[in-house]
Amino acid sequence: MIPLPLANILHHKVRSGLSALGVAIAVAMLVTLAGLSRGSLQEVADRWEVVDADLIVRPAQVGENLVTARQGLMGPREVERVTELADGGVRVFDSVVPVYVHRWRIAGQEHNVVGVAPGHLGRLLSGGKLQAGRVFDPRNAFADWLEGRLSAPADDDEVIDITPEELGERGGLEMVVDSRLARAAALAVGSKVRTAGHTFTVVGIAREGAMVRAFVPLATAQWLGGDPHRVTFLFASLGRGVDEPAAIRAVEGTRRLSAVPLGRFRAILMDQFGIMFVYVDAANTITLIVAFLFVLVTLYTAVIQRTREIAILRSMGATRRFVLAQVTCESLILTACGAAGGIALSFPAAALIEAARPFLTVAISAGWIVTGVCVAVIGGVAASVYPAWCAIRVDVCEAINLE
Amino acid sequence: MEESECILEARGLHKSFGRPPAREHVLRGLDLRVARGEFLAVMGPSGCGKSTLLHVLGLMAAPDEGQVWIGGREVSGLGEADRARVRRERIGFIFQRFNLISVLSGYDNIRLSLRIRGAGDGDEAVAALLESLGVAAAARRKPAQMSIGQQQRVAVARALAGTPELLLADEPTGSLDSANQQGLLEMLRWANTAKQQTILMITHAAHVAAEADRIVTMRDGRIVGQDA
Repeated sequence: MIPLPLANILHHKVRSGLSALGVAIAVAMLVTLAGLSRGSLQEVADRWEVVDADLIVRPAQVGENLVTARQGLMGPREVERVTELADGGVRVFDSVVPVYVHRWRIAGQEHNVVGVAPGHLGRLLSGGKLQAGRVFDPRNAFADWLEGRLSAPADDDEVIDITPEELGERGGLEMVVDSRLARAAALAVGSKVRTAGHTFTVVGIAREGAMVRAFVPLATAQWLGGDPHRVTFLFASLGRGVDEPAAIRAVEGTRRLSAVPLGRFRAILMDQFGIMFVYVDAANTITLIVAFLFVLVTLYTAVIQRTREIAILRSMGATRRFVLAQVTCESLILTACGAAGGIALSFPAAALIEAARPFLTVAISAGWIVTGVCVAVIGGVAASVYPAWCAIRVDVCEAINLE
Repeated sequence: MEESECILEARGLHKSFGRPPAREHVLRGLDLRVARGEFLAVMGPSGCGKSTLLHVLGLMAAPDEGQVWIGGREVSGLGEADRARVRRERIGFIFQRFNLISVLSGYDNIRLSLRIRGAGDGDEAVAALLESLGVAAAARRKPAQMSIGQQQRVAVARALAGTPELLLADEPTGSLDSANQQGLLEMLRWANTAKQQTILMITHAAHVAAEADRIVTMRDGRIVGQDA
């Protein structure tokens, strides 16, 4: 026998379908937007975590804004000081990787572009190696040439002028991109990328998951930033037997620098962009409330239309609990169908978003799917409360004679 | 009539609707006894309180005063859940407008009734019942796809399913043509004789009431006469 709640749903296919669709859209929005907001940040955090280092050392005034800020730069003396920091005669850091971070527009979107010495590039890549091509300026020829130009004796008022052609000829305009950027911008080894007023040549492709999407020689990044010899921050690897707190204390002992464990970067990122979650969650909540109000109205209308049938059930000896269970069950079927549809819908929605915005990551997680299902169940029960209350208050004698 | 034979009894029933000054006093101290296995017809003009009496006797409405006894037990003072249980276990209703659930097939209407009564699906019994009432094929359809006569037969089958000891019928022939009226009365007589079910039938049609063992006449909320 077909259960009565299901029979009622199937009898009013359009109305039931629209209700379920409302829930489906709300659940899809919940899962997709949560996946989008959190997924993109998690993806950035994942990429930073591939860096082969323990601490990020940066000027104290930068605070925790590591991703986009360039409030302060570190000079060569500070870099040298960090490199040579010692604690009880033991070197604090085994190695340091200086990087210079730019925000450049590539393939229609701004990206962090990191300048790094060719020999250090592998430490910022997933797996440590390139997928195709080669490292930029592999013999450090450009960096040496530029250093020579900068350190050559000159008159006080002489302006050092290096043309883009010279940069290009010396290997300064070489770039390594990750495979996601390569795919989105149709780049391959040998492709030209116009950004920051210069035309770079792609010489290598890194596997997706590298710290940033594009890398250039450190010397180029410094030169184009107008800050030769200065860096944005350092990735530092702890020396043998040195623990993190001791290393952080040692860095902070310099007074002008501070350090944060690389493992804390994810939390910093989430804190920094946490307000975005508030907006997204608020939008999701409003959408869900509207969807469940829709279910409530559908059920309420159904109950009003079915007062005589409810009276018939009561005349047959159905208890109020039985009637209540029928209405709640109907709501749960509608919302369960909506939730299933919403979860199914969230996958093509995510694919659509990633196709339209190739650098966004929509991470549809099991956690948010479970959340979507739970919200649908709770919303379904909540939406059925008032209609069910109306149903059990039906005056049987009056309703049984309704036309 | 011996006390032990009485399955249904109303003692001093009063029932009013509305609020003063528009309060309508529908049942005015009504007394009635129905013997087990009896086929009783209650007649009376429109508005005399017949349907209200049926609702009170069927525990769908509580009397303002007085008592209803079923099977030797006072039931009108029971709570809602207990009254539902008595309806479930002992009473079957047949209504003038059939009152089948429109979204279910005839079969499923009966199965639902059995489930509510806690008697399971009873597929074979349902099929046999519908077969005996001549609507086995029609009952596979939804009520809107059945003729009036078929709907009424399915409604009777639903009331008979689970074999409740008491059948309360509210103007069961009111929507039927004369051929279907006769068929329905034969079904009720069959239930009464073959299944030993007690029947209380409300009607305003004398020829329908004539099929019963006993006829009581209501006027202004009271029983004013009876014919054996």
